[in-house]
Amino acid sequence: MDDINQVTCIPLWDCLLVPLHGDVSDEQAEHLVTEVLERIKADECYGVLVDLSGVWTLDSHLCSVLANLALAARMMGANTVLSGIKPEIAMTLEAMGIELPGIETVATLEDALGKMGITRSRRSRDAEDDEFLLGTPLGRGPREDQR
Amino acid sequence: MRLAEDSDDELVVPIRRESDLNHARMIARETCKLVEIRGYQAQKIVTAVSELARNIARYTGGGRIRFRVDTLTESIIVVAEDDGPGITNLDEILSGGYRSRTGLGRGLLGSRELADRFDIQTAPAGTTVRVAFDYGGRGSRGSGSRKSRGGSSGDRDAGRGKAWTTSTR
Repeated sequence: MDDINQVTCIPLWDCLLVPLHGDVSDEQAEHLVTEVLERIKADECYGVLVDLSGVWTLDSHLCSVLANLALAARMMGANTVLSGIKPEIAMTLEAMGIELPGIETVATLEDALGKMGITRSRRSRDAEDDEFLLGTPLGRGPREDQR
Repeated sequence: MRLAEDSDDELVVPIRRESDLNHARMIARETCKLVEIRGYQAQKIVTAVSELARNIARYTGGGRIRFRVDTLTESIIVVAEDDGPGITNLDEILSGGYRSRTGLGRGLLGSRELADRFDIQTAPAGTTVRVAFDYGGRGSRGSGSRKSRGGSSGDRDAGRGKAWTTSTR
C-alpha cells in the first residue's frame, strides 16, 4: 500500500484512536475499515475513536464508510465514537439530509475519551503548576493556608 | 497526465476513476479561494463536486467536471458531464427513494440540496448535471437549513429569473 493512503491507528489502552486529516481519498477510506477492524481483533479493543478535526470534506461516501465501520466494529464488540466534525461540515451534511445512523458523535476528542471512560485525573505535568493553579481562579480556589 | 485543462473561461478536470476525485475537490477548493469563499459556502461546493465526480467515476466510463466563475451573476458554475448510459431511475433518485449498494445513495440528491440552482439532462448518450452556487453575499439561500423540493422537476432558481429544469430524454 502507498504511504499516502496509510491510516494512523494509535492504541490508547483498550481503545483505538484514529485521527483522519486532509482530503480523505476513497482508497484511504477503504483501507481505514480494514485496518481498524484488524486492529480491533489483534489488540482486543473496546472502543474506536475516530477524530475528524483535520478532515477537509465529509461526503456521503465517507459517511457511509464510517457508518459501515461502526457497524462492523460493533459486531466485533467495539463501540465507535466520532469527534471533531467541523461546524461547516455538520451544516453541509444536514443540508444534504445525511445522517450517521448508529454512530455516536461528540464535539471534541476529550468528549470521545470520556465516552470510553477515559478521564483526566492529573491536573498538570508539573506539581508546582498545580500548586499555582489551586490558588488562582482557574484552580479550586485558595489553599487552606491562604484562606 | 494533466489534472485540469484551462480554457478561456473554465477549468476542466477529467474524471475516469475514483482517484480523480481528489483532483476535482482540489480544483473546487482553489475555485472557492479565487472568489474568497470559505466556511460553509466553500464546503457545499467541494462536497457537491465530490458527489458528482464520484457518480461519474463509479457509474460511467468517464467524464469531466467543468468549473467556471460567472462574475456577472456572482456564481460558481459546476458542470459534470459523462458519456455513460444515462440515468434510468432519475425520478426515484431525486425523490429520495433510491438507495445505492454502497449505502446512502444521496450523491445526486445531496448535490441538488446544496446547490442554489440545479439542472440535470440525462439520455442514453450521457448525463449532464449543472449546479450553480452564488457568492458575494447573495448566496445565503439554504444556509444551514434543509430546503424543500418537489419531486424531480428540479426547477430551481435563486431569484434571478432563471428556470433550470430536469429532464430525461
